[in-house]
Amino acid sequence: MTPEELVNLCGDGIFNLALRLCGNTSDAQDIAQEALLKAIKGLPDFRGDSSIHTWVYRITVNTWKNWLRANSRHGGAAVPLDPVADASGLPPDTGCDVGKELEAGETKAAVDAALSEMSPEDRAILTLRELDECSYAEIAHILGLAEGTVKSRLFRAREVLRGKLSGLSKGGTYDA
Amino acid sequence: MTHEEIRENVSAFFDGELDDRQAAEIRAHLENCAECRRYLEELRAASGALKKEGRAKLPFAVRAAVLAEAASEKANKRRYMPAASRFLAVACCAIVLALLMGLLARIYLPTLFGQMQGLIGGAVGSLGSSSGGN
Repeated sequence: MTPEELVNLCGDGIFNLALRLCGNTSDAQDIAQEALLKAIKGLPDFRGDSSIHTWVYRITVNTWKNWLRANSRHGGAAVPLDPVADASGLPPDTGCDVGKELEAGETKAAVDAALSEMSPEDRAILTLRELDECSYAEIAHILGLAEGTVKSRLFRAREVLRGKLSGLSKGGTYDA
Repeated sequence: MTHEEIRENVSAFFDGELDDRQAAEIRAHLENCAECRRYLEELRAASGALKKEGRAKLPFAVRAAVLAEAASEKANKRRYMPAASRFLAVACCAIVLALLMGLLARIYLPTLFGQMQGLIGGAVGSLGSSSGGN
């Protein structure tokens, strides 16, 4: 696999995971860049024991942990969670219907609010499951947790998300 | 099993992470519990909402920086020579240079060694005779 193929295959996933772990675009870019370079360097040693995604996500988590240690040593302050639209630089595709735009905006705000209430690892567990469709065993391997912990923390994260979205459905605008 | 434990298992059931026995238990529970059926529907809706939000794309600048750095590291690796190889290369150059110089000396200065030998022999001879005279 060439570096370009690796970036094409895993670049978005690595950036998403970094974004969910550190919570802001600028640091997520640094972590994603470092993790991708480490993965490219380590490609000759990749034995294929796990999927390439699981392997690069584990590298990303380790890079984030190192970043966290360095950041706390330098007295880095916690930063607010950036919404996904800011990270991509693209506005949400909501069409031209004003009513639908409002609904989509409210749903997005509820999702962002739920994610910002979660711990970085819970955010990572939820997105690895929902967006990358990783199994509990894969998530456990990536984050260095027990499978039972992944199951219970995913349940907890879903409760937070469900709570925020059910608030919308009571107002009559939530239609996912 | 508490209500919370059942819901945790409904969440795992939704992900297809339960074994056959546990999945059958949850299926049977869902048939009789409207509240848990509604909970499962809410999980589906929440999952759909999160998926709709989509994933952020890796910024182009990061992609370009990674590929540029990977290419430059590859080029540096090609230029890099291990210490043993460097020593061998220098030794080979020195041997070739010495052979070349010897060859040139043999071509252009064929009588040099004979002349030098004569000079040294003469000097030794005169030194011997002068010391014998004393």
